[in-house]
Amino acid sequence: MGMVCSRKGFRLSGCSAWATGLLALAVGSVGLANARAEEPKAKSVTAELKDAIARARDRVFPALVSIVTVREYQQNGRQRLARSGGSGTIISEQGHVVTNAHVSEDGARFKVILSDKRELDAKLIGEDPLSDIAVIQIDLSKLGPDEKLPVAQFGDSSELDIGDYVMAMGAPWGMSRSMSLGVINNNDRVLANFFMDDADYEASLNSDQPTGSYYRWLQHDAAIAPGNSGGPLVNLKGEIVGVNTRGSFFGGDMGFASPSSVVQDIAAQLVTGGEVVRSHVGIKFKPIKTTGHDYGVFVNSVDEGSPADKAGIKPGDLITAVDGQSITIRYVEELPELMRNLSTRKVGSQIKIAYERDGQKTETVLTTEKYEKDRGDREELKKWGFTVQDLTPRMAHNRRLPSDEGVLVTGVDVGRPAQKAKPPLQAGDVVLAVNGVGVVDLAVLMKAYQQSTNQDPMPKYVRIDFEREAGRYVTILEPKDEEQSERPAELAKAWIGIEVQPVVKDMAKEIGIQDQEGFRVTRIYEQTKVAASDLKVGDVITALNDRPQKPRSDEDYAAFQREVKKLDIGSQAGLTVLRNGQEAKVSVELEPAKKTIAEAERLKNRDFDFEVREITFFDIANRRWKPDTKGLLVTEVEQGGWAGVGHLRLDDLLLRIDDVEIDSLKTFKQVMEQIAEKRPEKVRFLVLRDIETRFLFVETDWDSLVVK
Amino acid sequence: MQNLMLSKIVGLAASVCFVGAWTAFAADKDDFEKFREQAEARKKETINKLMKDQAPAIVTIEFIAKESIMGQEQKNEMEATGVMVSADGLVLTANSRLQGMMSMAMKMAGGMMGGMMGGMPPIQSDTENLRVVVGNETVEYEAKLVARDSDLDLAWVRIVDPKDRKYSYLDFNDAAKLEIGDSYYTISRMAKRFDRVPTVGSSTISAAIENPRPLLVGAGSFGSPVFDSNGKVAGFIITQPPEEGESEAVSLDGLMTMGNGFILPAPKLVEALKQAKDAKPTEGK
Repeated sequence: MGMVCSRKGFRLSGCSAWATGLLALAVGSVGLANARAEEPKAKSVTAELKDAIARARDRVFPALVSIVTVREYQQNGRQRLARSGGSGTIISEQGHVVTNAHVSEDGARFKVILSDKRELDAKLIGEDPLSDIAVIQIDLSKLGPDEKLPVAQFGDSSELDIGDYVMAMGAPWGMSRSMSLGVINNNDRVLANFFMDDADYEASLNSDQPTGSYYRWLQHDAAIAPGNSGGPLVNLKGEIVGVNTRGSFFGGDMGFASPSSVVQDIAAQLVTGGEVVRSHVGIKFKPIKTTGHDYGVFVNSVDEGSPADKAGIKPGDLITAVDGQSITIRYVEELPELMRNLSTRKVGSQIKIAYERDGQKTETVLTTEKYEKDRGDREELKKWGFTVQDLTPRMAHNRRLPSDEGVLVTGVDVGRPAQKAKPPLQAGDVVLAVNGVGVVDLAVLMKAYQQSTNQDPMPKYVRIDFEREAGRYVTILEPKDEEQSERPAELAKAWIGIEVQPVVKDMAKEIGIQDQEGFRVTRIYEQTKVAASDLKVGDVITALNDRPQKPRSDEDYAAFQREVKKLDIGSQAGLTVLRNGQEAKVSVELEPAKKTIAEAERLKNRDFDFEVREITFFDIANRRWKPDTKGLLVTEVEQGGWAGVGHLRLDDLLLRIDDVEIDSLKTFKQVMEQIAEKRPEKVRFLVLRDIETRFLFVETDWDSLVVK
Repeated sequence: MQNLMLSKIVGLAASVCFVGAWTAFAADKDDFEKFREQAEARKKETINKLMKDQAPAIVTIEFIAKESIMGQEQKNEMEATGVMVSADGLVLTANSRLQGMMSMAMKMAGGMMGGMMGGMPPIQSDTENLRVVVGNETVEYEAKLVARDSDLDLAWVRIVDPKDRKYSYLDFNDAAKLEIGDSYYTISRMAKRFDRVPTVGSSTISAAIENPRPLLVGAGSFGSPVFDSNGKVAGFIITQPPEEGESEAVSLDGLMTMGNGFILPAPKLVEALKQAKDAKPTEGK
């Protein structure tokens, strides 16, 4: 065989061409045969993986739930409701569901949606912000007598390797029963930013609640999104190896799950005792990477009054051994293990600490104390116009308060008693006494509040003693019920029930009226005095009571009605119009202007947390409703309120409540008062939404309405 | 000789003329100074009279402006100048004064803001918790917003419980008439931290407009009454934002004139006041 190269490329001789072709054919056939032999293998690998995924899915999916949380939050001195969602997994036949603490946080009510789409109530059993794990329990009373809930099992996350397949299950963006596949990217991730000081990282997670300090995370790339929180990370055996807790929008799909080795233990403690008991030593550690030391762990900070403080440890000390065991923490990834080691000691344990200070070696023994709850409970004192939070020792410590006695003011409602008090209360103040009686905690404050506000009439003044910036002050506030604001009467003006558009010279020519300017009638409202007159759509009004009407510009829509307003209600207005090129005179009786949408009266219902307003002439006209349409338009719906959770929406036209037709604000008020007396479990709303009617069955929770 | 006599006569005549002119000039100058001093004295007297007789009727309205912007509620404590118009506690102010800051800014900027905020839902503004402070008293009288005329930018607030007190008030029935070129005074009250001291401003009527309605143009804080140079009430300063549906091209002139006061002459005010006196607020939110 030979090859001849020419300027035109390769050219093969005749024989060599044949031989080469045969060789190519032979090689190709062998390759093809090999490829075909590989195909079954590849297919079998794919099929195996697919089967494994399916098996794993089927073991966990039935136990996968979506969680709807109605949470209470405080804003500007008011307590409000919002709705949020997450995921969880049923881990016991008693209905315990493991999820994230940030899914259950501030939850006032919980609903769980099972895999068969049934919705059941649930209650909080316990939550641990430090690990971001919570357990809620499904109310089983609505299940069948012999019905058992499907349960998922925990696996061992310590067996996971980088590259192992995992599945994230949950409800991303509310889309329940979703699953994604990925691999473990890192099985001991600590969430620290390269550019932040490690202590800053801790502080950045919230000074009252340093979530994530004690644990490492499983980093994976199974796609997760908001809504996946609390959902399981599952291995190919169909076991829960993690609880998905964080995601990252930067750098592609990155998810972070709390490992099951942690979750299982935390969940068990929450189920048993409602809390996770930890030891507290009071040291903030720093890895030695940048300190110049070769061994040990650096003390960044010591909490005042903590066990470490009492044992004489100071910032700057280098701890070299704990209970005789040498310790070196070089990198931030190594910190969680140390902190967990210390926190899981029994409360009251004695720990021997060896440390160096200014080159001198020494030892001490510290006695651990209980790690106290980070954040206190919160309440709204509506008639006094402010919100509060119970002070925990940790909160008091973080604020350098002398003790945790008292209740923290978290917000003041503008215009309400606390803000009008002399002097006004402010967020950050600590309430110490009410009417001279000491307030040690929230329970005492709420008792004093309820006793005061339940009096009829309420006392004119309430004295509040409070602390602000180390000073002790007294203020007097005047309790008040929340006011219904009133709509002032808009002074009546004359009106003609038409809409017009300005006609300037250019347009006048185009519509065939030469240089005549005026206002072209675009609409005549039904059920008005002018509708009974001779005026027609398309007429161009050139004079009003012989006074020429000329728009100043092509946007001068309001000019005509402005002239009408100057006239008297009930008088006759003489309109000079151009119709088909001919001048005509039309007489119209002037009537009072109709109430505008802005002037419509509104009424808020606090039990169901929504507001309605009366419908106006313009609502009926613009929405092309029948003239006899009755109802009230929904103008506000609090997302987490009963009406919001019941799917009432802005702009719904409320037609009926139960069997009562809602034709006025007065009727609405009466019906809602009756409902508040009867306290039914459910209320049926009939609304008109766009062009369709809808029935909404709104569930209530009367017990949650404490006198506030 | 005759020439000499003639030149002496001319010289004497010239001297007499010169002295006469100089004397006249000196006399004019004195008169002018006297006139100026008298004008100053009159002005001072008028201002003092205004302070004494009319300022007691100028009150402060405190209120909470609640605005809902894209679902987020915002409350601000605000103040406005008002004028007592009846002895039983009816107070007049500019309707635009009783708005929240965002609503007021949107209204005043009109089409410009409308263009910028196009597609966004309108700002819902409510006025709550109204109180009237008379002069520099520490007492705040609970009040209600009872009526408004959005076209004329007027609003009336009534003290809920006047407790048989007879308030000093301005009577717009007996009013002066102002024209272009006339000087005028306004009275408003300073903020609480300055003890709500009344303050007098003065300006000149610079124009008269017919559109959108007959108004005089001058400078001054809207919500304040206007008095002529003799201290007689003549009108009330309002604002005239673009109407709904109207937009205006952005111009520096336009922005500058936002600060102008529009003076509603007293007779128009009296007509509106007749309706407002009998108005009652309706059950609302």
